[in-house]
Amino acid sequence: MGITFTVQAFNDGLAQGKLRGARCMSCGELHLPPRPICRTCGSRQLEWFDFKGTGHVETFTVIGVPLSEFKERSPYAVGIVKLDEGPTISGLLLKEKIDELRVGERVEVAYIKGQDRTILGFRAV
Amino acid sequence: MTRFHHKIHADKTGREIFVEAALEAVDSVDKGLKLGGVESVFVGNFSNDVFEKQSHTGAMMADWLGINPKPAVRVEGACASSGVAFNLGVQSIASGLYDIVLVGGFEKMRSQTTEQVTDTLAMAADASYEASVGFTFPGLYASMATAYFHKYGTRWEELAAVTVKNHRNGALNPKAHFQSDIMSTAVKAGEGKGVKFKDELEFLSSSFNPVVAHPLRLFDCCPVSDGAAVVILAGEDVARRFTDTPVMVAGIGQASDTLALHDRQDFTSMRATRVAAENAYRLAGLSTKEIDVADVHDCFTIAEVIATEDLGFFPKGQGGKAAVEGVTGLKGDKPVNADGGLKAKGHPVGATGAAMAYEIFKQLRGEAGDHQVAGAEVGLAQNVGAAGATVTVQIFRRG
Repeated sequence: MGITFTVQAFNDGLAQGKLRGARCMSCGELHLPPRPICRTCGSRQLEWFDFKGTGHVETFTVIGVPLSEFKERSPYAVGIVKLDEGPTISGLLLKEKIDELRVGERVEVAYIKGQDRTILGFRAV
Repeated sequence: MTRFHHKIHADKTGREIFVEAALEAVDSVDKGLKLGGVESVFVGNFSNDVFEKQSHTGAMMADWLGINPKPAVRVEGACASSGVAFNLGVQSIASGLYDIVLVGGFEKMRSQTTEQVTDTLAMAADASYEASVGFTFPGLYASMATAYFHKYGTRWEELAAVTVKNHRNGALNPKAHFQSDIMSTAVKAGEGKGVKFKDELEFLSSSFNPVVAHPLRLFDCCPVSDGAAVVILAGEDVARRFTDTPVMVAGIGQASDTLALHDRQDFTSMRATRVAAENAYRLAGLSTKEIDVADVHDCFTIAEVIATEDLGFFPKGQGGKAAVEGVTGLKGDKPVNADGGLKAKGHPVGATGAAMAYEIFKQLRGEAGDHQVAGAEVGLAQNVGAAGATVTVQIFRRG
């Protein structure tokens, strides 16, 4: 049996404007990004689950010394967002004045065009 | 161990610094040990494949130590590589397979620019889901700091106290990368620009200490260093043939956690540290109160604060305060990172776990020189891989 819930499938989802995770068909736990084995109950029966993309900032940083791929964006904010459905995931954070970014701030998903891929981001709302 | 430094090893490769550290270890054995007596080699290394474009470093070190065909293996657990190598060495002896093994680690990082090192270190995080959205390695710890400040209502000034303490200790350690305290550094940095600082905090709050990943500034981060560290492990009965004052490995622990920080329940604590420590304390039959000296993984100042809480030294939210109040200072009740820590001693990633064991060994034998913790009998080392996805803990006591 092949594994469906791949990094590639997640990235393809981003390119199509979808935030795709997995739901455990046994215990209902949601996973984002998707994974092949439920880490709550161990079940291997999972199905695709599309997240709404709304949530709030759990924690964040503003990067002064960037990765080479992100050099043009520096300084940029990146952090961990807790989605309204429950799971937490890392993303670029977009806000006009990044100095005013705060823990708890409401955000919605943003699909950011990178050089040759779509980067997961969240925009302050 | 070699001195950890950004320049002095520039004309050497990883194999030379590892051999240098190994020779110091072997030659310092009280009643003498020949390299040929070593039965197996465990080499901690994070990313020599990238840094020097040389893999297969386990066999390479056995070769360069002149002890082929003894088995050798390179162990990778990010920044905990040689903490893991150490535990595997202990396990190989406990299993009865070997009597004497050599464990160590090395990293040769300074062949790369800061930008390249930033990219390489990010490989220890989740490349597909963290680095892919722009998280750097300091950025992950900075996010822990943001979460920590938010949860406990504490401030960056507590982290600055860790910086000041560890640089003060590093100044007393001839093996440390940085050997000047923060005030001396401030005076020197300010001289050229005609700037004077009234105290450490004014310097650390100034533009001389730029933000690497908010809220962490340059002096919240360990430096990029080259270096190697090696220790020799032997079974208890065997060890007594070589020394009258061995240091005993009383307990070891290791744990894993999610590779991505975002998959954790709590960003202000490391479950892997708590689990590894619990196992080590239990094996040792010792408790947190009995630890006289500890080396913890302060790759960033926030990491020391969190480690001292996860190891049970202080209640949650109180680790920073302990640094401010001097409790973790060299003469405090719970000395932490007497050798300067990663912060001032340096952090050649793969060498760090072995360097911690080296430090605790010296401390418990009363051989730590100017940074000796008086009367230390029980010591602990905590080595963290990346943002806590691998953690090892060892507890040592005087033999």
